[in-house]
Amino acid sequence: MSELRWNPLLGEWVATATHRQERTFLPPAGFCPLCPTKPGGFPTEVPEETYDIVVFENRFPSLRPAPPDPAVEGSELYPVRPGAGQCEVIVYTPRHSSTLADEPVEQIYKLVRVWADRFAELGAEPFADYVFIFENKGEAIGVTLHHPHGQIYAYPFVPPRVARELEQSRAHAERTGRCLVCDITGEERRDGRRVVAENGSFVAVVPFFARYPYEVHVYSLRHLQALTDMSDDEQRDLASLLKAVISAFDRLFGLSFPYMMVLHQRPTDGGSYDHYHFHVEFYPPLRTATKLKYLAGSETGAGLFINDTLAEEKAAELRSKVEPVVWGGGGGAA
Amino acid sequence: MSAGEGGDGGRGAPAAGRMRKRQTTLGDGRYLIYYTFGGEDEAAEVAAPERPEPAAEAAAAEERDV
Repeated sequence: MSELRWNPLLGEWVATATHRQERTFLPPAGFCPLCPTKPGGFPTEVPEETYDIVVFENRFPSLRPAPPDPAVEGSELYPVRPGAGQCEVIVYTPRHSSTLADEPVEQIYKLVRVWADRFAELGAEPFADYVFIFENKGEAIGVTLHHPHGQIYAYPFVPPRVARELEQSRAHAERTGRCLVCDITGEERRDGRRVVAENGSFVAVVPFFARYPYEVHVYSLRHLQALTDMSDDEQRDLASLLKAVISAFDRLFGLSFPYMMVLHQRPTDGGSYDHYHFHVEFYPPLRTATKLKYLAGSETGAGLFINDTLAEEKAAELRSKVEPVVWGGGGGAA
Repeated sequence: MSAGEGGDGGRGAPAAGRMRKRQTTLGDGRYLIYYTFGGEDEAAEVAAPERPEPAAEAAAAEERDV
């Protein structure tokens, strides 16, 4: 069963997807469903012997283009609607034991191009008001498969966190005539203490308002709203900066750093969003090498994040771990 | 920290080539898309499947440039 139930207290939808309880959970080595299918071997989700990047419909989707009828009837207070949408899995590489940080920057550039294609194709679907590209990495985040991959959800509405950013951006534009993220980017670059890395098209910062100790935002220097607005140079620069940031994450404690990575782009509902600004956000759950930042009572019940660290200090730590990204240098950072 | 540590050297790097995608349908009806990259010749080789899709796993295939 999958459906969308309305929460009148918060004015937002909740997706139920009971079949997801049955999804594959940390399979043993040799039975990874995201690896290529080898001759005579375990048949995976990808029926060929190798691939570069593949995208497929999630076997256990929260949303689907032709959803079943809801399990319950709605009411005036409790509207219910079918879980229309799409859920895709995007496999970054055939190399099972790799991570996005381990991949050469050229592979990340390919991934950026595939992301842009999926944004355009899914965004054109009539059911897709918002295309959300993200990666959950590491068991600390709750991943069920270690093979390097991300996910793409096409939602039938603009999700609440993005809707709030859109509203803040619109209000800022109406009040000042300027883009909110352009102003944030300008303030961060002028101050400099929270900048982690920068290249010709993007800047990575631990933002002034970071909720997680090592939260990083990657802002485009040019005012644009989506991957599809970028030039080829900008897509390459995005790949470079992502590589720099996630490699610095891994160097920080000498371990494969868990994170959530999300791309915030304009909605695909046909509206005008010139006031919005593309960016990538990372939410790593670690606050030390061995301690997690839990979302406890204040964060979950009140919505107030309590960050035990200073963004300026955490940015300096990460900045000290950034190394030049070399194209043509193979895997890892030079 | 100087600008450029985030790496913008990719601007002078060789192109990754044309992106192509080939869509197949899995046995349970879900789609799967192979993305490949390369120059004209390489892309043409990639676009031509080296072996038939297993009938149970791929009911249809579509190739196109992106």
